[in-house]
Amino acid sequence: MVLAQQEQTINQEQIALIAYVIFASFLLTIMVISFFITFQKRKNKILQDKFKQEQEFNEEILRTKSEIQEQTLKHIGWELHDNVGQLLAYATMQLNMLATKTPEDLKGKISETSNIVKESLKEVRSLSKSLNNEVVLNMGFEDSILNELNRLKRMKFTTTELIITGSQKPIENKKHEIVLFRILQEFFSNSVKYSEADSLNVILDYLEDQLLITVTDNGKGFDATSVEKGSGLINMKSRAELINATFDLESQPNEGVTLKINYTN
Amino acid sequence: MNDFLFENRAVVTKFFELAAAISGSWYLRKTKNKKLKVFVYYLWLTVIVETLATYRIFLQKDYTYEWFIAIKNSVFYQNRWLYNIYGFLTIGLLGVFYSDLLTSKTFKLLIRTIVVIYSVFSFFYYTLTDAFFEMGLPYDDILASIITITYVICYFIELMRSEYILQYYKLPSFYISVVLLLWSLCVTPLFIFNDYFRAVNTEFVIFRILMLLYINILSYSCLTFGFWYSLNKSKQLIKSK
Repeated sequence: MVLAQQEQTINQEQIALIAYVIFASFLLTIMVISFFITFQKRKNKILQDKFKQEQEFNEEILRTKSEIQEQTLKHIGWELHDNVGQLLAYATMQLNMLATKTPEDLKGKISETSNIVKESLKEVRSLSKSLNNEVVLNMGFEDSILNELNRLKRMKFTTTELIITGSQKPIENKKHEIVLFRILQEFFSNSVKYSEADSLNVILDYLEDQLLITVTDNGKGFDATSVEKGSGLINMKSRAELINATFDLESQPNEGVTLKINYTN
Repeated sequence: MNDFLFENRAVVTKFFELAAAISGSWYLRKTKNKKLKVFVYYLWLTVIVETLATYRIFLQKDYTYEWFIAIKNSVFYQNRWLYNIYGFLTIGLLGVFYSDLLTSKTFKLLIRTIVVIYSVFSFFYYTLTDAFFEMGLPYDDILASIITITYVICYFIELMRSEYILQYYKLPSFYISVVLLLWSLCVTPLFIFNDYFRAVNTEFVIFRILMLLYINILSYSCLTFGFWYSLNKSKQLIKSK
């Protein structure tokens, strides 16, 4: 007996079935893959957009805060200058008139009082200049810093110094100029309040298209790693970010504080 | 379990079809989504046609009423004509559903063209031949599958282009399209071998009946689930707002 192996014939339906299975698997795979890819892409895009929106929102808030602050300071500056300044000027006048009419033995006291009032008037004017941003811009960046350093020297520090290197170039964006000045003002005020230093130095280094500002005081410093970021520090940092400047605050205990700002003009 | 399903296959299928139709109507009532109305009509149409089609079993009995015998001897002995109408309405209603759902003009035009061509073709085929009461269109099942798959592909292309893709689990039309796609894909090989659906191939007959039954049960359950799930998700959204 020979067991002949019958040739298997394939009929039309089976061919159709094979073609169909191939086509259907192909179709399904393509659909699943493209669905998945598109889904991921959209999700990423939405996340990116959300992040960008958040950032823009934060920047806007910062800008508004800055503007409000400038307005307030300007207002205070004006009031100081107009109100208090006027009163002090008037007092000076009165004292001068009084001086001509007093007897010799009292003239010393009167003249001393008159000097104190004149000093007060000078300080008030100097302070109001530093608060009013229009005056700051009018005077110029370097002169405003000098004005501020001089005022602080009279008040607290033994020595203050402003060193300018490189070819002086005016800062093109006036708003950024004010922001830089305010950052420095914040640092000065922190120095006055906490550092117990007696020397304050500012170096303005004008490079090709950058401005490197280095501010140092020789006070008691702070431990930069452990200190809690107070609002002043955060304020300075976010202002620097607003104008796209790098901000670097270094300090060791008993070795003073150094602030480095790198601003691209 | 297979035997139970096999014996009662008519009732089981109708039960699941009814469940899908009811959940569809429930979804419509809760959300007033106009675009899904057409599809829910289609689901109810399925239930009605399937129920009406059982008159054939009724006809098997031996009553002696005159009208009964008249019907039995007429062309209405087979319910082929009912399913022919149903097949035609399927393509039509699904076409209208997807045409309303999609916004791209090219796709709308494509779907409407397909519906028109199919309608014209069926109309002429049925009127020019005697097929209406005896059999369906040639390759009708394959044709219906291809057309359904075309509709669903159009839908998916548009979904991928739009922003709705991120909320796909909330859209009942997504579940409907997936179900239609999978149903068409799974059922077509069974219909390729339609010629073998004869009493002599008992194994194939039983296999096909069971397979179709399972696919139907799965599809209609998915539809029911899809309606319920997207209703839940949109309710959640409203609650959280």
